[in-house]
Amino acid sequence: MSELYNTDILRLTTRIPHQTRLESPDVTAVKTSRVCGSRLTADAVIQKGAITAFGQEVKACALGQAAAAIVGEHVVGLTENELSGVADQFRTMIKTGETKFPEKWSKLALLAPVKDHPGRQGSVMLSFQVLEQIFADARKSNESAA
Amino acid sequence: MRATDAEKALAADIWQHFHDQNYEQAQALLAHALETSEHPRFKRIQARFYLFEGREGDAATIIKEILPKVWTPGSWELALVRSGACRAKVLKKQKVLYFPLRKCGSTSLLNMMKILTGEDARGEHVHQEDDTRKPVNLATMGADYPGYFSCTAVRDPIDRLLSYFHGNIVGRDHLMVEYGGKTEFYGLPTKPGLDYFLVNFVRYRQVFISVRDHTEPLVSSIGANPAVFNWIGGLGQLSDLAAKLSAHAGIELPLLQDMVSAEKPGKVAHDMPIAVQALYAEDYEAYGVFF
Repeated sequence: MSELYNTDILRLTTRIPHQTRLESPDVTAVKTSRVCGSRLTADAVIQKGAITAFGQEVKACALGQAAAAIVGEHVVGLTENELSGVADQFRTMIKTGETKFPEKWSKLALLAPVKDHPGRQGSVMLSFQVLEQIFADARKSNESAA
Repeated sequence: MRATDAEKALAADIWQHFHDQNYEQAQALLAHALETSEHPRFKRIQARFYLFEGREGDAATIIKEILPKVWTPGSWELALVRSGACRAKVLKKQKVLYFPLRKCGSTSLLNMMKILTGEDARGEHVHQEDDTRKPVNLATMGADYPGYFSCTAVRDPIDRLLSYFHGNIVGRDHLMVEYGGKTEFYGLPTKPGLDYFLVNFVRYRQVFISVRDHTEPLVSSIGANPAVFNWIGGLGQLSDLAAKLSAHAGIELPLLQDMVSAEKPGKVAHDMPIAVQALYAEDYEAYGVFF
């Protein structure tokens, strides 16, 4: 038993924003955790390097849902550069427990106890992985169009 | 393995905290119980909590381990591990095995079994007589129950889901009643709108075991081989089942109306979130011919 699934985390599972898939996304990405089978599917519209519309379907454990809820709060307006910084800090947190985020991303620290649960880390990383994929695909698409 | 009074009281406390939405306290008590008792009921609670946390794989590992020691496994436990066993109404004298599946005409069919046994039909109450339904191994039932007529009725899973939503959650305040009049349980409304319910379907199945029970894929309960049954059909073919049962048991059954869902689904499979479509993909493959 762990304190991983605490009240804050459980509350977040019912507050996942952007749960309506987009009808005409620029990019769609799917990521699945090999460890637990959690899956996140996301659509995005990207303009001038920032996400302007986002839709996601989250089939994950409570931790994956909580991560999707926190990331989803700030996904509109997100750039690849900002994502890269926050994702790096998040990876550091789940390795070392160190919580060092910009103020607006501070809720990610709620997931710090996952450090001691390697089996749950795949699920909480999905939101970041899917966004990284979205930006990478958008970049490729722009390059091939240029 | 009989539980002691102390173990029973501890389990009741754990559930009380869970129902009071005090999950951290429930977890702490369960951790204590698992350290101090070997009784399978605590492992079952642990599996249920894993489901609540969305950790289906971990829950299934526990259920697989303890299932042989559990006297009356729940439908969700059998389905979670695809045990190959399904709870059945066993009519010994009439030699009938009926496998009731939720939202698949099971009230009508369980009442029909009552008529076969000479009892009065009892409406919805038949669902509370779970003690009369034991897990039957589908692969070996021919040998385990020689001469029995085995039957079940199936239904399009999206129809089932919508029927459950409209008939039970909305029509009968099912979740609200089950959770002591609460309007929310762990943040989920007990009487949600359809779109909210569908968007949060995965979480509803994790939090509410009754949602899970009513929306289990058919293949999780009865496997993927319709040929194991003497009779299997859709809700539009129940009069045929009544005729077959009459012939088998030598009892004249009243004419059973073929059932057509009164609630015409406003959504069809392709409108559903991916999670819903994925959950039922195997049902369409194995049983689509009957829908």
